[in-house]
Amino acid sequence: MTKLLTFMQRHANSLLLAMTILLPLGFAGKFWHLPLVFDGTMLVVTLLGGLPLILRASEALKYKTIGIELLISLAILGALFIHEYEEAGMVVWLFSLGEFLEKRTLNQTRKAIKDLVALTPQTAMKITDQATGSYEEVDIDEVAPGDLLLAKNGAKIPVDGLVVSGDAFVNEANITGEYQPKHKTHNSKVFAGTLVASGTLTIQAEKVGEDSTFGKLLELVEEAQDSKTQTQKTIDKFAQYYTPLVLLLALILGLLTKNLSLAITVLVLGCPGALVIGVPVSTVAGVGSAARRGIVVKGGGVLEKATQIDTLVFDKTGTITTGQAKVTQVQNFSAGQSEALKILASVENQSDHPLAKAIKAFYQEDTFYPVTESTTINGLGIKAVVNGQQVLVGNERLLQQYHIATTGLALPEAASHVLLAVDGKLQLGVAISDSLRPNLAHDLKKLQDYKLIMLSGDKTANVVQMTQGLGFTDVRGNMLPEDKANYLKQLQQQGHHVAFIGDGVNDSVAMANSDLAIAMGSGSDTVIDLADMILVKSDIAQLATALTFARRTVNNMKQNIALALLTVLLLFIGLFTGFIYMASGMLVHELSILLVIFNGMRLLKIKAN
Amino acid sequence: MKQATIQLGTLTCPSCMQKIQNAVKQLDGIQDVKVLFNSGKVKANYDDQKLATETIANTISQLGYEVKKTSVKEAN
Repeated sequence: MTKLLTFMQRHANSLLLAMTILLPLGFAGKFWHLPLVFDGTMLVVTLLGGLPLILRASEALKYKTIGIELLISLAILGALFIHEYEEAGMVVWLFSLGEFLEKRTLNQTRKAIKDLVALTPQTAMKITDQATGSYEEVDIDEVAPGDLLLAKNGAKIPVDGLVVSGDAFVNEANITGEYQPKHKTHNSKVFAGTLVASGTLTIQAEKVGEDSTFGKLLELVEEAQDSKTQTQKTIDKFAQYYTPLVLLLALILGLLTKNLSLAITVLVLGCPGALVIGVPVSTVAGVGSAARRGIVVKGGGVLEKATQIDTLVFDKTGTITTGQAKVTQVQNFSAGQSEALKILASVENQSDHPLAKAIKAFYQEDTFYPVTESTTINGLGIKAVVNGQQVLVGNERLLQQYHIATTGLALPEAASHVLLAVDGKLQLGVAISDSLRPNLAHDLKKLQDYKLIMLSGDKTANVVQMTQGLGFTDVRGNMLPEDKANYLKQLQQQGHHVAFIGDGVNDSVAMANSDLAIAMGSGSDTVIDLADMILVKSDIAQLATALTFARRTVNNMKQNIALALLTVLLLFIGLFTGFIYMASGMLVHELSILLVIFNGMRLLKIKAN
Repeated sequence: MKQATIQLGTLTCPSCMQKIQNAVKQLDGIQDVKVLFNSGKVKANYDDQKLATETIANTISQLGYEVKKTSVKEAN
């Protein structure tokens, strides 16, 4: 039996084609008054389409599940019993055609996600012999962490890993949204799903498949498109009882009126098709479409929450600023600025501090002096010996401690300062600040309908100065993580629905207390886990797009529910006024399903604004 | 404990989900099972001492759904 079912399932399209060819033949028989030809073809059609249905229904019954197939199967059997071959044939054909069209159109609504999945690497060039460098192409499932892989010009990097050797430019737009290729050499980190624009790399695999950054994002999206909204949960519960109820209703009607064809019609009309499929179709199209634009929404429920938001609270560093400190000003007191800078960079070269990174980035070169006796003076700076000279690198307080004069120093108040003193004399003053994201003013303008607030752990003066003219209604500095959370609670008590947009672990308390937690893609793992929504490209412009998507998707769901309920109403009015019979009922039912699918597909065409 | 991810063909009706869910849930050794309608995936946590992955896959194909690919990893 199972084999027969599998066979019929596999050849569903051929069966449908056969039925579709047979139907006109049957109607020709009707036209020429050949009842034997007519009934005969209709019977064959019923058998071709009905058998898989009946098999599926009985398999489901084994597991105590009453599905649409059971309703239709009973209706077909009933129709055959009262010799309504035409009705039986038409119902079966319409149902099969409907399934075929639904499959085609549903695949369309799922296309956005499929496109994303297609970006995941399927194979890798695994190095089999390190000595000779020989390699072979293997399935990605056969790659384990620690394996050495080759990524050539134009290839997709198959795993998250470290570059062991080679030199290449890699386009990481899939992960970061940044189209400018990044230079990768020994010890650079590379990510699965990114593209080698030029060059060749040998990579040691660290995270493979679902564990890679891209794999994780994809899994989030996949789970999200199937997670349920509150509305969906209600509908599911409803559908669970609705189908058996229809069965019962048909039975009672049949017994009371002794009208078998009425009972059969109720069975056909009772399929809750458009109602159960309407909301999932909107969700998958909405979530998929957003994902294609780099917005990961963790579930349909998030979309409903997002439509209620009226206040957006931002973190500063890494959220409205780039989070990457840059040297903004240099003040020279030495004989030669480049020489002083080289000393400064040599000392900072050993440090991982964000300020040190900014200085190294500014220095640009990679020749350094040897540094000895380097000691960190906590919170103030570094003391070391370079070329036999005593070197101090740090802020004003460090230099004061060593009684070094800083006369003439005039760096902007709002920036962080790094000063260099050699043998007790100030040589260089460097101002480093975090810059606002490009286009921030323009992006925030699109969010004018919301109350905009910024909370930061930075000095209040800095924060206020930085955000002038950006349209924030409130800006607070010196905020500890708990302060941010308390501030949110206050807003909520005033009746606001608050979204928090952040990137760092220090934002996690606030996020957990918000109505909608939004993380920047560059954020820490904790924050990404915690967030309801992730802006993968770490771009505030995506926020307006995300909120638009949420609103459109939720509206789309509501439209679909309305369409489905209207269909049921129309069908039952039609039934009791005598306009609707089995086959026509089936037609309306299938049309309503296609209608909600097409409505859902409109979400795929939303333009990012 | 293991987690099996089973990729199916396109699912067209959400009632299929319920059917698969009910059927797999009744297998001995299943801890929990989730059917993803849109991505056409079944994710099940199960006790591999009591139950083979093939049994789960076979149960699903007996219901009339095409099983395309099965992968198993340690449940977390």
